[in-house]
Amino acid sequence: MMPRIVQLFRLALSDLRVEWPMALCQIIAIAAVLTPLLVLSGLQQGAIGTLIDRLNRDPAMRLVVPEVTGGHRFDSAWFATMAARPDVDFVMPATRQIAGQIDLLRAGEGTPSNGRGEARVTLLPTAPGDPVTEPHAASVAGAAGMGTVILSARAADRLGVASGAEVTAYAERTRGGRTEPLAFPLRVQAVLPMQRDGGMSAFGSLALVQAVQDFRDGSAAPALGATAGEPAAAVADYPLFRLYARSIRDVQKLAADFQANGLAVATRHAEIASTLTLDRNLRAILLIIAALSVAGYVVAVTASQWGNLRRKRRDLAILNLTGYGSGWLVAFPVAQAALLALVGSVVATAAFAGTALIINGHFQESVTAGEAACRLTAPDLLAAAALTLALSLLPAAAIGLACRRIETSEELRSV
Amino acid sequence: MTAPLVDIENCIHERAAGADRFRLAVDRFALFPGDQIALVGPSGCGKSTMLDLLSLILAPTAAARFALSMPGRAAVDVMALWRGGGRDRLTALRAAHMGYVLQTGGLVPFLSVRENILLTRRALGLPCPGPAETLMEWLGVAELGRRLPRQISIGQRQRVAIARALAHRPALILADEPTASLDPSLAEGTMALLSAVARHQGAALVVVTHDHALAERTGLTVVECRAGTGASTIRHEAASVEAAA
Repeated sequence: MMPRIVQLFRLALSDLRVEWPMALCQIIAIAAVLTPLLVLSGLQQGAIGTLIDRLNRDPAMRLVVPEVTGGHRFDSAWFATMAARPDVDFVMPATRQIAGQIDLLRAGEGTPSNGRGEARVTLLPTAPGDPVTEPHAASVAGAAGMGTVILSARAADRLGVASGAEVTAYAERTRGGRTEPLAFPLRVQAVLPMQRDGGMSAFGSLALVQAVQDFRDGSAAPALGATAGEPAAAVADYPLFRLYARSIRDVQKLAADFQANGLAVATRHAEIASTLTLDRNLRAILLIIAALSVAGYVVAVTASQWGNLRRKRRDLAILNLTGYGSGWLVAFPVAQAALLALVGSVVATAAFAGTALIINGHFQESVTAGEAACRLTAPDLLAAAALTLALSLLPAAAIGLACRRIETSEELRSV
Repeated sequence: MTAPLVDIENCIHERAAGADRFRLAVDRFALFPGDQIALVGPSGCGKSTMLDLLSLILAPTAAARFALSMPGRAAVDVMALWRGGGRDRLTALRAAHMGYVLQTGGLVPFLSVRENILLTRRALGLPCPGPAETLMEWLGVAELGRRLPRQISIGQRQRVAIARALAHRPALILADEPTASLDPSLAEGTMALLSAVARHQGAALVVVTHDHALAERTGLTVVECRAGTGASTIRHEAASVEAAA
């Protein structure tokens, strides 16, 4: 089989080499159709893709939270089910927001007075995988992380602390008509960039947040040094959650699922929808342009291949006379079409790379590192080459099949 | 008794109707291994059609018998293959057992001289160059190996075509007017070369030519193919060709 394939491509290549001006024209024709399509596609992926990537990188855009507290309870089975969904990136229980409010004071600053060096923050539970706190979540998780928190940029700024600083947390509760204060030390494990969380937040382990809520509820919280009160009951479920979709494209589906189960959720759907609509519309325009170009390409390729094969009937007749059967006569134009499509794709890819370089240079100031105004991935380029190959091979095969019954004796009479 | 390579009996080929109507009738044609015959006759008498029938590129309209018995192989019923749509089988038979020399060489224009000569060997999957190397030297075209057909003379093209026809050591060589486009001295040499190489390889040779005298000088057995309403019979062993146009 292998020698036959080698011979097939030897024949195909020899013909293209001898008729190189014709081959060159066909390669240029393929590249001329493919390059603009690649550039348009690259712009669509670059501009809109960058926008979508930016939204995807912002955890707040993927956040799904219940709109109302107390309407539902979410147990560990529910969280396990949610975490297993492919469209869910991360899900975490959350306590009542008021119960999670604490005051932080830079260590050695006395007691809270609502001035510089102190801050009221919402204490939120976090865990490894949390897109807001990664890669620091592991350092505050578990028993070892009980006395540590990750601060939002605003909270850290308000406190005037940086990573590694010591702060004191204050909380109060009213039990039996008496106000009971609680103070416990916390170490700032990390400070988040502003774009991760723009609020006054502190992220700690679920155990820490639960202990603060237990204290607020009047129970003992021995982990925080509050021994007064009944021991807290084991937590079976939570009133809230903080869920992040895998991508912004998953947010709407998740929200719809929750709504279907009677749970109203808050998302950034409106902002996401406008971007995705833009993406969809641009794709539609690109598809229309591509369809028209491809149709033109197929017609041009078919006409060119048909004409070429008509011109070569005598040569094909000689091949048939010397022992090349109908399979060869079909495979010959197919092999030539494959070679031309591959070279045409390589030329188009090179032209695209050059054009993308110029475009990206022009828009250099509008994009950050790792982003591009015009870009296509290797799989995109391979898919374009594969499509070009298929669109070239199909007419070639059809023409080859039509010409395989060449009347050798009639063709040879013209020799 | 040796079986004929080609055994044809009461074979007819009819083409078109009306003014272009043409009918070739072959009452009996038997070609034996080592035979060297020249089919001669005026234009339009059906010589080339006969060659097309022999080379299995043209289907007979009818035949009582059309068999190929290549050395060491069972006889093949050519008519059955034509009727059964076995074109590729016929092509394979042609590749394995026949070589064909066309009027102006009939070389593939985009292949080098060397690749033209190796064309059938490669189709058959035979080792290359094999005996083709020696053949090229003997025919004086070894130096032309890398050139394209258009870059060599007509005489050289004919020698390349002869090399191609013989490169895979076929049992039967068919040549259609191989000297028609050559000047007389070159024609004499080419015909002699073709005959000598075929004899050297033990192949049977059928040459279509207008040049009765050249065929006789080369030592070929002349089989006349006459056009007209009357039938003509020319003996070759037990063979006869009758043509009517």
